[in-house]
Amino acid sequence: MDSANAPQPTARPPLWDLTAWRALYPGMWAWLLQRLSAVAVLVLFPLHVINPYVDWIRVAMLACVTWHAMHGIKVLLTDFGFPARHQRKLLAVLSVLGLASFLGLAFLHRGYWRFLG
Amino acid sequence: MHTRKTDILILGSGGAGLLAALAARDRAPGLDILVAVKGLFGKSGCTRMVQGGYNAALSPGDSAGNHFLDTLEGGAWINDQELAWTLVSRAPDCVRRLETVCGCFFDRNPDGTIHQKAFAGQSFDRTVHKGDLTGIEITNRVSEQLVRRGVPVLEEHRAVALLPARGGEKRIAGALLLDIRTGEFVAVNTKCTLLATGGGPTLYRISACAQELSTDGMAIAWEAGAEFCDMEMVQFHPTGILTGEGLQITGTLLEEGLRGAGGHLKNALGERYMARYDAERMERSTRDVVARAGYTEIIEGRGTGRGGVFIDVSHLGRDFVWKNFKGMAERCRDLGYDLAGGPVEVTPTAHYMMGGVKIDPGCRTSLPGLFAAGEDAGGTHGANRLGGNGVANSTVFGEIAGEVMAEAANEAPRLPFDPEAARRAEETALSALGGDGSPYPIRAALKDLMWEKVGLRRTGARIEEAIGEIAELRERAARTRAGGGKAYNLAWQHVLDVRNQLAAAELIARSALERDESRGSHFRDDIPHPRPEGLYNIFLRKEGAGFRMERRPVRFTRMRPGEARIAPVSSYVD
Amino acid sequence: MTTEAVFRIRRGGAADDPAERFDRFRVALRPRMTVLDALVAIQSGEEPTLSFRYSCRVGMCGTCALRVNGRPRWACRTRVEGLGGEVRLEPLTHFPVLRDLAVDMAVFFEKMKRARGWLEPSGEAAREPVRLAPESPERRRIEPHIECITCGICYAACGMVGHMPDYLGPAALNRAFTLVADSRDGRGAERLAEVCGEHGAWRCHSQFNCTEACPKGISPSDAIQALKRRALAGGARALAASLLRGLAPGSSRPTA
Repeated sequence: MDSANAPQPTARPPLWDLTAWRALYPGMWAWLLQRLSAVAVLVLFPLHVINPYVDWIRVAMLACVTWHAMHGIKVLLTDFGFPARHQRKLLAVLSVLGLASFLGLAFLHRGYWRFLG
Repeated sequence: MHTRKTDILILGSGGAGLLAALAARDRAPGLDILVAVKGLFGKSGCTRMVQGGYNAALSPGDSAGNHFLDTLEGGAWINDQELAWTLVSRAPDCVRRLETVCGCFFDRNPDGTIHQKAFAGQSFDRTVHKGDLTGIEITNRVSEQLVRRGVPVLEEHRAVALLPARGGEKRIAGALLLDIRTGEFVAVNTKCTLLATGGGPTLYRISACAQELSTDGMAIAWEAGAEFCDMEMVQFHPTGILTGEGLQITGTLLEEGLRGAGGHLKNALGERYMARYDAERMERSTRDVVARAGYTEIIEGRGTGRGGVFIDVSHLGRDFVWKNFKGMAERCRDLGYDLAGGPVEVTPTAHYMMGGVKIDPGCRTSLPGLFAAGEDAGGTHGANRLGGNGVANSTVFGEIAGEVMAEAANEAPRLPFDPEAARRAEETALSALGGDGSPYPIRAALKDLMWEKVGLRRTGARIEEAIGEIAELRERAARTRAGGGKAYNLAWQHVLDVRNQLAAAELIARSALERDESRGSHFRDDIPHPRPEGLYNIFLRKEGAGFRMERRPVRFTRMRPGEARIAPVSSYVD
Repeated sequence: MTTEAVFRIRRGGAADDPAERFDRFRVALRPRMTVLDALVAIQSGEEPTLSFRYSCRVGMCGTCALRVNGRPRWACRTRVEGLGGEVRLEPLTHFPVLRDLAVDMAVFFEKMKRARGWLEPSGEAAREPVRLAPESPERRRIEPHIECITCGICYAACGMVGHMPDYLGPAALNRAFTLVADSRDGRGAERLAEVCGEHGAWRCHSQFNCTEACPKGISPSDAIQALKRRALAGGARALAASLLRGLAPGSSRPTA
């Protein structure tokens, strides 16, 4: 295409723009949180190896790994053809399942919660 | 101002412009072709907005002859028969090429053949379509093919004048373009120029067409001295959606397929009023009759409070409506209506100009070097266009224009244009900038007066009033200078628009006064009947500071009213 | 009942007016008013120099897309009711701004071109319209993806385009899918290789922004996933074939 104009800089909302954050769709949040949970696990896991008996690290690890796994399942199902129009429902179901398994495991290992006092 | 040379300049990228560029490129790959478009490439103009479809006699039981007869009957027998015959005889191959060359895929029957649906005023189900969004499929697929072929495009470049050859030879040698983004001018020197800017009766209060259209092609062709025909013939579509006066979406179409499929039109009393106007065909009568009926209901006080009537398709069933009219159903839903659930308020809406620049079947105008196709050209549809003949017209004649220009550009000289004319045109365009005036009151006044005085029902006295008012508005528009800078200044563009709209409005009004009968979409309350014989066309051209208007008898080159004989096919190339 | 809405509109970004800022306008509300109606009211009244783009005003041309309260939408089909008392309008992300709300879409169509977004009819399909039932698996795959009006909304919504400007983006890949799935097209394998290359389908991270944002209800996400699956299947077949060739007697590869 023939355009006489030199393109101007692309408009992109800055990170501190709250309207832009509020405008994010659920799928984007899910993706972001899955990446963040991966980073968190990367930090928590070495700490856990150095000292396996720090309770808050165990709990945080459990939360991050569960969340990450649940959304990993979402990605997997999507790759095998799960229709995108139902992705919100899938996200909701997996989030509930994730929360339930986290709470269940947390209950089984309720001894870990001592750090809360 | 800078100058650019090319062999073929195409103004517009709707059906006519796109097909012309494609045909010219494929026929003569060595030629330089340049497409200039007022909006974005393939996204400007009305072909994009075609919902209903494309008439072509494809089925074994149908024939070009039937299509021809329907077109003449619809056009109240004042069509240019050579143009109409060219249309119907080339439409089937054009549809095929849209599939085999461009990659369109129109809706199919269960057996895999192309589906054709019922449209009003036709003796056969011959309207090819893609759901109810046919135009998007056509413009998308054809523009892709032009991108594939690397045809250069100037986007957001409008033509402000046609440039005559230097030294007094009567020939168009190019056009002056205005780059809307920068406000700079480009003079294009070319062998052949095609007007394919679309007509677009946006000069009426309520209109169906794309809103950037402002009869630009007609206005510059008029200035250049081209001959026009039948400008009084403006089609009003019966069912433009009415969400509220002055709201942008008001006037956009709920297409004819709704009536074709059995939709009902009702007034505020709940009566199916078409019984009063065409008891036999009811809602499936031709557009001129149905639109005028709706208008009459409204002005006689049987319309809704906001000046509308109702279309009701709820009895066809929710599934049927959503399956067949998904585009319209979604649009209604977004606006808060339920198309499948009950009546939706509609209004007649200015839709199409049957008149325009006079062309021959090779798209040549009266000016050498200048060609016209699509809605810029007049004559094919006579006094009323059939639904589904619009996109057929723009693509068929676009293709022809491309082929004919490819031949012509191989032989024709590229004469230098008159630099003085270019300078004057630039000055005129710049005279619309540099003040703090507003084009909007002028535009609103024009839309109102055209609607009320040169609209669906006219009288000699009202048309004369309109002519006087148009002249006053033209003076005001000539003095109006918009504020702001040159780059992407909508107000400046709108002053230029309204000047062009006023030029076309005058042609419409002058022709309407000249036609002393009611025929097709031209209806005069003071002479409410067609003349039984002595059918004529009205021709107009600029002469000095004034104009020259003449009536010429219709040439029945292939068929007379009442006859049913089809002459053999002739080639469009003389 | 509210009788007016406040619009905060991002201005500037032009060569002769580079300073970016928000201007506030009050617009009297009318029933069924759209964002486009508000823009036209502002431009034809208070602020004639406000720049934006539109054509068909009814959701067919795809030129009036902008961001409404942060989300990309069509101005013409977005009703003002329900947007809140203060509506923020900005140009689409990922497109160069020409002025105010009008953007240059060339970058988007350049991607379409790189994805070879056009049919290259071959064989019988280049001679006659093919006979193909609407219920055939092929058309059932294509139809949900074919009605794209190239408005650029998915492209503006896509997180990966923002992250990686060379990525082809949802619309171009969606078009590529409709072509790869089309038996009339004579470029299948090459096209697939192209759109699954470095800047192609594999760059999609299944964020679903395109599918969420598409006003036509098209799911480019599904199209992209389908492209990935086709590429994988093609790759697996090629691998198997080369292994078989390698093992076959008489091949040039030395065997044990």
